[in-house]
Amino acid sequence: MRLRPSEPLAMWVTGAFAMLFLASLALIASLTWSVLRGAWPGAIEIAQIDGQSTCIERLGRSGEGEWIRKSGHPDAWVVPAAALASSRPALGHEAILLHDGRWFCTPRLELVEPDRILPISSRSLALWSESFGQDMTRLRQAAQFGDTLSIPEFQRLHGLGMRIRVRLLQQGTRVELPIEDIRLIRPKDSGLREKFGYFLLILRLQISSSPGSFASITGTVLATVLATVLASPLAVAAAIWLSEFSRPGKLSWLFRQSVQLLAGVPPIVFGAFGLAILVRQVAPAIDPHLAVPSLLWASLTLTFLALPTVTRQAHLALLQVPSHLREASLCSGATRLQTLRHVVLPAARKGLWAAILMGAVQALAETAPLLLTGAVQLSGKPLLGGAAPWLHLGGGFEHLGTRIYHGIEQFPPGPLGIGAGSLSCLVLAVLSISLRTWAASLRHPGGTP
Amino acid sequence: MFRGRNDRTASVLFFLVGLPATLAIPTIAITLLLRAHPSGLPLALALLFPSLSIAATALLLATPIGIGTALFASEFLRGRPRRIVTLLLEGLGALPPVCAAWIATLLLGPWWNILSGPAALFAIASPVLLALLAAVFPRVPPRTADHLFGLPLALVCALLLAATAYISLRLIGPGTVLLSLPSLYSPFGAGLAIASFLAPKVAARSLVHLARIPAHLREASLTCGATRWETARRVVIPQAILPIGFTLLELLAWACGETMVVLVLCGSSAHAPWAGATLSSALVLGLPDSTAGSPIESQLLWSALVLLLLAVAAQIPAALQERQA
Repeated sequence: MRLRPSEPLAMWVTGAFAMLFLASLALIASLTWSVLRGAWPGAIEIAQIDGQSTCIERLGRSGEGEWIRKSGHPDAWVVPAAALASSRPALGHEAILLHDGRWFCTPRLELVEPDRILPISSRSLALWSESFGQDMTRLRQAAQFGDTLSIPEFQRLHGLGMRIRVRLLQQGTRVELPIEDIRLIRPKDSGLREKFGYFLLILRLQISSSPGSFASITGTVLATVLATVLASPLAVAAAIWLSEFSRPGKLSWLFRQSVQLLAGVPPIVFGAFGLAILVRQVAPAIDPHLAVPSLLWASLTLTFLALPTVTRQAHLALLQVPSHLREASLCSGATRLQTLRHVVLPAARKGLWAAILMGAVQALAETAPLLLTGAVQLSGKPLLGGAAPWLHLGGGFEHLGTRIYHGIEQFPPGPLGIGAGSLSCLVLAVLSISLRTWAASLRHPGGTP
Repeated sequence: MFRGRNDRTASVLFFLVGLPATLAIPTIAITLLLRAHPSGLPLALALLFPSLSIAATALLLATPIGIGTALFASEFLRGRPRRIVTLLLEGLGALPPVCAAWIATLLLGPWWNILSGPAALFAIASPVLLALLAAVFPRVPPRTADHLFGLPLALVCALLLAATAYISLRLIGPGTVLLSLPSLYSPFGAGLAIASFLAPKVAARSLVHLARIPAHLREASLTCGATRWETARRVVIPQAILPIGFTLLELLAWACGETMVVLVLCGSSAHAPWAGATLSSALVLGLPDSTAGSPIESQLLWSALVLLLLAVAAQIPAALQERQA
């Protein structure tokens, strides 16, 4: 073979392959790098609370990081807490606290004044009055209207001797901590061995201990499994009818085309159908309590999404069974049902599994329909456990895809936030790609489509 | 047709159980149509153009890479390398869109202003560089060409990209865009991110069509003395061009409804609150806030209907051709 400059096809084809190859490598490398970088102590500050470890993301971008480093006073916590909250209103994965053996991501950071809760949740009020009485009025207003406090204001109030505790919320669980108990340490100044110890700790927390991550993974797996379990029997039955029992004619052609057309419909259409029809029309007719976006409706929407893919692929798998096998079986006196059971299904077993896997991947990878039909940022309720029936389908649920989406929306997250989001992204991408590759290997054992 | 009662019962049973799968599309279309109010049609048509422009950008970027890769895998790879590439293409096509949005926003975003210029320069200069490479090394050893043809070139491309970026950054400084490209938070950026998972889809589906071309056509061409490149250009591509074209049409309609990437990069998001809406972003942002049966809901449902009709229309040519065949 000769690669000639006069052959533009050669350059195009090899260049295209090279670009795709490089893009795939870059994708995996960048995700892995951001996960590892997010956990490296160079990018975060570690603080200890009652002998436990707490990780606070360094606030380098807001300029508060320098202040923290210079101050050795325990009140230094106040500044990161307030700055953290005021710089990013809806906190996702920014502050991480290890307390009583549990790991809390803090979607919201609150300060507790003796008789009321003062949310620090948005922009500063820099030009507030200087007298104590006016400050107290301001505090009441802030508590009443959910308003915000500036960092200087907060420091001034703390200097006036008010008892201030930090409250962390995650999925309904609250932890209150007096700020005096918090001691800041600086792993950045420690040795490589210590740094590596912190790195492993944070990585372990990111992987295993976060209730947020666990809830997202549980929600993702449950929605996918429910959709696959619901879709597979219907789709395989439709495929069997189309390939084995239907007579060639307009009806079977129409049904086949209907399935094929549905496979090309964008997922968001299913989401709109799920919300406008299933949640708002069908659910009230069954039970008014069910008429809210929930795991049940999200799973049903994903079922509709996965149905055409599974049907189409299962149909193709059944068509690939050589017709002489069927004919031999029928000639031997077997009925069509016996032929199906003893000849066709065993021969098409791998293809059928591939079809089901492909449907599962489609249900796993799509996020847009779930934004409409039940996925929420924080569900507040576990999906599994509790009282019978131990599987709670009637409420909102967390999903890895929506977790990633809300992570993007909290722009700009620091390295720790990027690390946690990249980990969710890596888990979702690796699951989807590996399952799809497995399905393809079952479908094309020889490598040829 | 059926020999026994059991067969007839089984047929009816399979038909009834499988009915939801086959009747899903008419059900969805009819229910949406009943709920949608005609006054929403102008809004949906107004949102159609931004959706189509993003989808067309994605397809323009993905098609050369996807078809090129499919041709490479189909015509120049054999055995295990071909199997691996085929499986990888299928797998990469399953990259969740929200992951593509994450990568584009938080991993590619900070580097976009620095690297988009050198990357564009490289993309323009790469054919020239490859031509120079081909002139310097006119013959590739046959075994290398047959089995791992792309790998050395991929490494060369990576080195050239790094060298271009390094030289441009050293000479002109970071943050300088050599060739002015649109911002990442624009329809172009959304198209680029969609293209990242559309290209493997294009490649995987094109590979299916290329594999269906009878082997004897290739063999005849090679026997007549044509090279593999000539065979690919004069025999394979003309045979597969029509089904690949239908596939691209289907993918265009599918990309029109792509949501997560559009929502983040050029829908109304924290990154790009100024950008315009598309059919899909209007649905995600508007439908949850509307109340059941409200005029806003019934107007927004037209966006879903338009996407559905677009997808159906895009598949009609392929269906008609199949029926003719």
